[in-house]
Amino acid sequence: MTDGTLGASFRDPSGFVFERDGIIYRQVNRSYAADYDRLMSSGLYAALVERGLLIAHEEVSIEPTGRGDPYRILQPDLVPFISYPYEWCFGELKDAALATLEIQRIALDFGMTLKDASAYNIQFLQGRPVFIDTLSFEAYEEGTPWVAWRQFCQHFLAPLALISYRDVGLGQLSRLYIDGVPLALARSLLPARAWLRIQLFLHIWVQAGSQRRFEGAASEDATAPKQRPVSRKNLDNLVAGLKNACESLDWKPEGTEWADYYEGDSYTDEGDEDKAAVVASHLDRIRPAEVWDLGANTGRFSRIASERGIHTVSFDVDPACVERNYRAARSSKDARLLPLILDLVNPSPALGWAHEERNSLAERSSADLVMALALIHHIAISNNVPLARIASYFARLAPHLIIEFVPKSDPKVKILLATREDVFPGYTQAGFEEAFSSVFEIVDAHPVKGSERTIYLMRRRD
Amino acid sequence: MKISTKSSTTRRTRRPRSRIASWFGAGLLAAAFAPATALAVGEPIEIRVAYLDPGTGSLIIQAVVAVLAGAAVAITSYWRKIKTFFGRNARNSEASETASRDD
Repeated sequence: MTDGTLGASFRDPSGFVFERDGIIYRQVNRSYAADYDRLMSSGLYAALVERGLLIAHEEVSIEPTGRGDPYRILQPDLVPFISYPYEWCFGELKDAALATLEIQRIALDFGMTLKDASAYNIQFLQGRPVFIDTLSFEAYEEGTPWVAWRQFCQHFLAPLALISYRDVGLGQLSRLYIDGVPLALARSLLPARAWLRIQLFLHIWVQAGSQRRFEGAASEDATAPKQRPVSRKNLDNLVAGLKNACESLDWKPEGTEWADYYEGDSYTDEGDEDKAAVVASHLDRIRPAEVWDLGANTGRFSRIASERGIHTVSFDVDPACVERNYRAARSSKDARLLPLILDLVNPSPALGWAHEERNSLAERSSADLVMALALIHHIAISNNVPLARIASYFARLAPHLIIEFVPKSDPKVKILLATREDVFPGYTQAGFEEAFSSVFEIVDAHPVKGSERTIYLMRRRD
Repeated sequence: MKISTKSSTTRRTRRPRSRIASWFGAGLLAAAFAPATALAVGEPIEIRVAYLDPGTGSLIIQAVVAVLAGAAVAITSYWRKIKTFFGRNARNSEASETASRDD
């Protein structure tokens, strides 16, 4: 948009987010002034920021955009990479859900309530879920229900329950439904045994039934349905019940194709150490501020970057690998590592109104270096993507590339080719170098000890 | 932020019993405390809306769900306490048995 207003930020009349000179600002409109002042003066802002639950901001005096009726301009802390719920593993979604509930619980103690419980309001900062929408708080009035209850259930509880009870793949429903999984759909997909959990029964089964019932009632008779007040105590109970529901759900990262990959790895110890050493030396040479590790598995090589203080996004297609990666990062308090689910041959698209609410993967790239280790054969052979196209896509993502070439003589490629016709005559080391040389300059090529693989460092041609 | 530190194994072994507890809880609540629930949720408020979206149904049922959710949380927490109590007793008696055998 021409005035710098970001596409995700048009629904809320309280304010909007805009970008100027590479810095993200949030405008607070005068219509939200009372709630904003209450957030700041009640101590809620300080309490949430202190607990690491809400993004910190500074009030700045810069020229407003001319849109809306500006009351304050805020400059929030920078989020290095904006991720979306359909890119989170189960553990990330669950932690984001619990953070949202904790924020609502604390907000009520300060006489405020969340009017929004969208999963898109959470981002991962320093390895932890943080609420980024400072304008989502409003004054709480005794007796009023939690207006964001349905949204919370759609964005968090329903996908968590579907993954836990049905299949981890159902986490991708969030990509299809921008305002979360419809509760009627969740109710029809969840197995009967899910309703033995009283909280799931209440928050999903009963709520979905109520939605259907009152939709029908409205069209058939004119008598308005009755909304009953919810006391403060019962509102606390509602939030406690949701917390119980989320905490009771679990998913074990196993049984997927890649989850046990390193246990049956294709490398000798010598080769593995050599590979780690060459990756480390390339990182020290380029000194990137942000690294994307594509096909990261459980993040073994991503950690070489994150341990150097580099913000590292660790992508993998397998939710079990991402889950293991996240749990390991969380327990080691790795603040620089962000594990995310990504199918590189069908990456996250631009979504929402005018394709501007959620950005595609490439639109969000601020990486200085992409790592693609033991990945090329899966894209080129398993998915038939020509080498030249792989090179040009990687060049769009970052100016530097560390890439491993895996030749046809490699045992892993032999397995890939065992069940298909070899229609890849160009898949040779010379063909690879030729394809990548059109967009990249090859800076270094290092044959990995004890294997026939080669690790390249490349720089994008301008 | 609070992150559950309980191991998934512990939670899995607990699951069937707490489910039964929850289910019983629901039954008890629905049957025995229905009048109390009706009282607890107070007097109805008129909603003046041109037409209703799914959110309206959610807000209408929220008062009832909140009461039942709270009761279920309370029952689950009592159930845990009971289990911890008997669990501790069981462990204690096991320990004393082992001790006596060692003697």
